[in-house]
Amino acid sequence: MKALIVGASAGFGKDLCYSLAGKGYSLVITSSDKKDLIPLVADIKFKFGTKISYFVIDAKDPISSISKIIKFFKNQSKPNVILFPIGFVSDLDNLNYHFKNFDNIFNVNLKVIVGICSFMIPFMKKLKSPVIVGFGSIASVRGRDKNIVYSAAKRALESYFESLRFAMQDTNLLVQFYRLGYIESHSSIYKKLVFKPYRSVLLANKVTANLNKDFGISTQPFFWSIISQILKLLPWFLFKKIKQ
Amino acid sequence: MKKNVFSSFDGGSQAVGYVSFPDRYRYWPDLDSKIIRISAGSGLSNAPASFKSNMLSISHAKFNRILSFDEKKCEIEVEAGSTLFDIFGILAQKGYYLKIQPGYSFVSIGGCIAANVHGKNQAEDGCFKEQVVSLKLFHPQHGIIKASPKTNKDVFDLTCGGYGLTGHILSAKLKIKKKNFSAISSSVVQFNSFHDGVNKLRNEARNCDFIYTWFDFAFNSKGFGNGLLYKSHFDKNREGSHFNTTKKSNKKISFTPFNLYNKHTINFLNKSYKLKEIYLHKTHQTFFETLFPLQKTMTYYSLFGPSGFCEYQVIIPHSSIGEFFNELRSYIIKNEIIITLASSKLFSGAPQYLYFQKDGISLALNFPRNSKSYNFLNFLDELTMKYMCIPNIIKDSRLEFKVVKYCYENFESFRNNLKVFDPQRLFRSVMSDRLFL
Repeated sequence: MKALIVGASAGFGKDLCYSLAGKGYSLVITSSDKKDLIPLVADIKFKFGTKISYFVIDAKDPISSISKIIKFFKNQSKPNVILFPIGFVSDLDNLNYHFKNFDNIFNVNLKVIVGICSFMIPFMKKLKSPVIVGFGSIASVRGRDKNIVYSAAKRALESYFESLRFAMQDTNLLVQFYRLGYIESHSSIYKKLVFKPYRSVLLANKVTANLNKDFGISTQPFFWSIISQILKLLPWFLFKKIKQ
Repeated sequence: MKKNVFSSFDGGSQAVGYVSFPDRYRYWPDLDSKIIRISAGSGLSNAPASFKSNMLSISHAKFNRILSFDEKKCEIEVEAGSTLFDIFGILAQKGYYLKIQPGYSFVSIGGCIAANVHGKNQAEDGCFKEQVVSLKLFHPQHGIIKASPKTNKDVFDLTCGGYGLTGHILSAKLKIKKKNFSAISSSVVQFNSFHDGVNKLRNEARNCDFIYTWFDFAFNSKGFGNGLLYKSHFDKNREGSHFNTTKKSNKKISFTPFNLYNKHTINFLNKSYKLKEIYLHKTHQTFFETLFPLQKTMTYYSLFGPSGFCEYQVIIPHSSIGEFFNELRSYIIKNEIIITLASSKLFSGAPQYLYFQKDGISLALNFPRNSKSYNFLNFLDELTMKYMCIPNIIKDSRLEFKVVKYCYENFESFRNNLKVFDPQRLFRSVMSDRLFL
């Protein structure tokens, strides 16, 4: 079984690589920086003896990224599993965010994923146990006063995966989507959060273990599904008072 | 970055500064090149070498990968945030090991290089630098430098044992040894006096793979200086489960609210320890236990209580060992100093920069931090200077500039060469400021 991980070099993406390698998957990994991919590839090869290859994409440029993916897989077997632990957040993402920067957020969090899926799905449907896994954010549950464009992109991504699942219902391709609460990451270390971030290693193991399950959308950690329901149902006069 | 309260392992030095946990290589060139900073490994040294007030400490913890493994050359290349524990487990599976390792496994490779630490038989094996084939260093003004005993030797010599002051050690290629033994055989030999113990250590060090002593320095002990000699060697003829690791435990000490070690308990504790070691010593230890004896001593350290403890390690030239001991014994007995641990190893090597190496016997002492300890440390400093010893900079959170400058004959050349390499002195710590480096 072969897995393509888009956004693999650090954080949750990196943990997914180790988790899948541990389960015997051969890996194709991508990220924007070769310097991060080379040590990761070396380490996984050494520790698991896994077949692993990499290539660099800049997801801020979806056209070039998809071209690279097409080129890479031209003479290669296509992956059975594609995971998109990719994301881009900007601290400046508020109502004053310059429209020129919107593109980067939409490109990384949405367009590149949609593009890769469009290219890969026809091939994947012919493979054994194909799965596509997307990752959203609890931030997209309801509009908020920061990470505005990011939340919009993630909500659009969730909608895309819902549609994808609908479209693939008569095929063998599983479509999974995780709506993630606070997850341990490079940036979570520096933030004061209401809840302790979930360990990304545990989440990666959970995602790997669930690859054969047809659950649609799952909120992780689970208690965030209750919080997200409350946030959705909260009347506006109360919701607007929540300091985000 | 995040505000953080730092503390040295012995609890003797604290500072409020900032910490950053990068996990991507672009972090290094992207960081403002004017920011004063220092690399942080596992934060386990007694000396405050990885932090400073209001300054940035950069953790290498996320850079802990194996970069290459060459069985033919017997070399492994690892990122500097890898710990000895990580590497031990991986190498064990392949039938290899690192020859020179300090007694605690959660120390990072970057930390081992920066402090040029020693293992269980320094006289035979040398210090950690001996097994560093090459390293990659990042300095904002110089970029990435590859240094080895052949390439950029000046940077290599300055970085090994340079306490992180030359830059961020990114990775290192290390020599590894093929495991040509099947078990570890260990024995304990009693001796009745300090001199007897030191002589036994000198005579047997060359015939052992690991050797060190433990002394009973309880001031109220009848046989002050008696003790045990621990000897271990690789055994090719016996089978054993030598690569079993102990469960990974919390690496930080949390000191108890009280100090267990006082004049009423020390003699009893030392006697009990000695009896336990004589009668219950495991002759067939796992390799992990032999390499990392400090792994099981977190409780020992935590029982020093909220004030923590002091450690002093010194290499005493062979010619002065008798006089040094006599003066030390008199002071301990007269002032009722509570010595919780006294241990020796045989050392050798020519003095170089701030490397803790010299021909002689090392003596490590632990004692509670209290009203007497400050005077005792000053006394030890005087004794160290008087007998031309060298103190271990990384084991002491308060060692003064005048002592280091006096004892390390190459102190000035290290300081001068460091300034030539990094005129702006971007890399600093509480320790480097204290030593005017």
